[in-house]
Amino acid sequence: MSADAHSHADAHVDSQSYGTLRGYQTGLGLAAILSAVALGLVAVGGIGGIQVTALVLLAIAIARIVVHLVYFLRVNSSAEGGWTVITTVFTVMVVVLSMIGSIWIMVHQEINMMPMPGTESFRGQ
Amino acid sequence: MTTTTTMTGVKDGTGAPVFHLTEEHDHDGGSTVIGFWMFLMSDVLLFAGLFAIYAWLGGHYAGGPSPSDLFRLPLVAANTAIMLLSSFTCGLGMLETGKGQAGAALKWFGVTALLGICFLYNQVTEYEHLQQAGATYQTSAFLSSFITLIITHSIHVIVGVVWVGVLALQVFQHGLIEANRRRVLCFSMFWNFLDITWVCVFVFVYLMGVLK
Repeated sequence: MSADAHSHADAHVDSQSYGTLRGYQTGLGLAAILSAVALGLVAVGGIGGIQVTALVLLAIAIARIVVHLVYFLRVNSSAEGGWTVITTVFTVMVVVLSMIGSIWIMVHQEINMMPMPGTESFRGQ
Repeated sequence: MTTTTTMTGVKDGTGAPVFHLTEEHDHDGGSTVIGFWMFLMSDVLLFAGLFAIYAWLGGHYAGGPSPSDLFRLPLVAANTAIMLLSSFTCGLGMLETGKGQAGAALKWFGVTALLGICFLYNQVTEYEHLQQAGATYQTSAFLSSFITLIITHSIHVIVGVVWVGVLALQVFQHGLIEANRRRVLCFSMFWNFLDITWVCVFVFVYLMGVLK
């Protein structure tokens, strides 16, 4: 009977879902460092041109998201029988495809648009 | 309810095979967490759409102000720190929930909500600053997409703050029962998701906007 009650509680919210203090502290520290580096990078005016700085910022943002997923949201292969990882990977895939696709299409559409009078600055009209 | 029976192959002396039930319970509520996670993933798609629109329209100033004219990094950096700190206090609340300390857990979630209110106050200040600078929703495509993005995020934060209030009411009335623990878990997922979205706004909109 006691074994039944235990397994019942386990099925809902196991103790692992609450995380550990050490995990949260690590997450806080890493996230703070990454944010500070990103801010500092822009404050000093970037490194080696805008494109390089933008790529570094992108890398920092991805690292920050991963830190958050791992240390605060505790996404790992054992949580919820691996379903959180599967849905996350699927979402990332859809996000990447839809973002790259949308931006690609819209930018090309814009390049191919006929120039129309007044579109340069409608404020001046 | 699905019950699975397996044959162990052990004979009990009479020659009849012995069957064991390997799954005995319906886990009502057991799928809430994964269901809520899937909702969050769909919310990610909503924000991805808004970010894609901003990526395209963000450079269309229509003669109006540009990001470097409008963005004030100190305020944005403060908001980033507030959001990160609130994720941490939310985690501390989760630890207390795990220990069954309802009072301490509510205290930390209260701090989380207060940090959320500070964040919203800063956002309102920022919005007023935009209005004063003559940067409204109608000024340019850049501002339309930018304001839509930050207001959608702020609405999510408002929902999170209201959620803490509802959660506190539930815990006061019933204590940290199984259902409330599940709600706390969903809230913490939602709040951390807000922080992740804000990081994207911080880096892709503010930092890259000032860089240009």
